[in-house]
Amino acid sequence: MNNKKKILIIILILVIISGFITLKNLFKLYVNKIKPYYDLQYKYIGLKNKNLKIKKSINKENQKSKDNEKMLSEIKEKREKLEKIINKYEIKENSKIVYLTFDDGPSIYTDDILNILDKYNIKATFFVTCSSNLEEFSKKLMKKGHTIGLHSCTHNYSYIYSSKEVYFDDLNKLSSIIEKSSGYKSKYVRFPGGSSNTVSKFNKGIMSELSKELTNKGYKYFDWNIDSNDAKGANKEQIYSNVIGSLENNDRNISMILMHDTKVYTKDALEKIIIDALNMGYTFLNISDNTKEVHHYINN
Amino acid sequence: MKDKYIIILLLDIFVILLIIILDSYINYIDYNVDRLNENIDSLQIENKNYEKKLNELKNENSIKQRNIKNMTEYIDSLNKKVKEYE
Ligand SMILES: [Zn+2]
Repeated sequence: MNNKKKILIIILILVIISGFITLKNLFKLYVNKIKPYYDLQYKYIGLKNKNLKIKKSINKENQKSKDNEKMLSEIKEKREKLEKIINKYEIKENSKIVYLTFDDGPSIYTDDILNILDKYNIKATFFVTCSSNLEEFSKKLMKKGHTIGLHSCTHNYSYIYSSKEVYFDDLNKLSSIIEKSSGYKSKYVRFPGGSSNTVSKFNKGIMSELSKELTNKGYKYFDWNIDSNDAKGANKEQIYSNVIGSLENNDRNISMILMHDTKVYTKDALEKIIIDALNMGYTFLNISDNTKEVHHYINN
Repeated sequence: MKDKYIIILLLDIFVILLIIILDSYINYIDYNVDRLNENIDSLQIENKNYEKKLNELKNENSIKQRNIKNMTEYIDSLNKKVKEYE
């Protein structure tokens, strides 16, 4: 063998070795860099698809929610027609109906309560007082389709129950504020303390007199048959169990629940009460001309 | 002899070009991997939030559905009573 050939063979071997090393490094590059990169890209595409799918589902649920509202407004028309007939002919009807009533507001908690009611398309009744944001809430309550009832402007027992004239002065003042701001003239009343109150005993017979006079003037007054006890200091759990407990062993057709939108625990307990009462088969209504009056026994 | 030099020269150029291309490809991958990781992180958070929202909406809608069901049953019972009366 001559020198030239030897050199050529050595070069050849070197070329083969370096080729081998290059291949090995290319493989390493593929395993460590390129493949993870594409895996990552697949992961990204998968997540992106999932994202689109969820967004689609959310849109679908939103559409469902809108359809629900439409259905409810159709139902409302039918319902009112039928209720009128039922009342006109005094047909006995025994569905499980619940009226949520909120007294003493509007307050800083009223908006939260309205949001919860909105969430489930539930209408309620608010027996209001002359609080500083009454005008704003009169408009809001009407717009949202709730019922405004008259509680008392001052809510001062010793003042309003001092005479018939003072009582109606107070009531008219409240009524005119509501009418001016919302255009709605409410004919539904709830007495502070209820018609059965004894706090008015300082003026003998005033409750009998007022209840008769209200009816004569075309008002309807509503007491309650379930007390959430929220005004007497019940906490969230107690309010819930007072209401749901009463609904559970209930043989009345109409449940009129007394609550106060001035209490923080009422707002906290409300959502669970709504969900559970619906699951128990109750229908929530707001007070209308078709609502049968719920009255206490008058003690004074 | 001249031909051989040209071939070696071309080979060198080819190898240098290959190294440059590979190097920039690796840089490109590194850049994209960083970006992808960021996007994946934010997508994962977004998906989690969306999933939570979807679940809430589903629960809400099932309660709303229940509301309509009760309302419809109420109307049906009213309807029945009115028909009985008529
Ligand atoms: Zn009150």
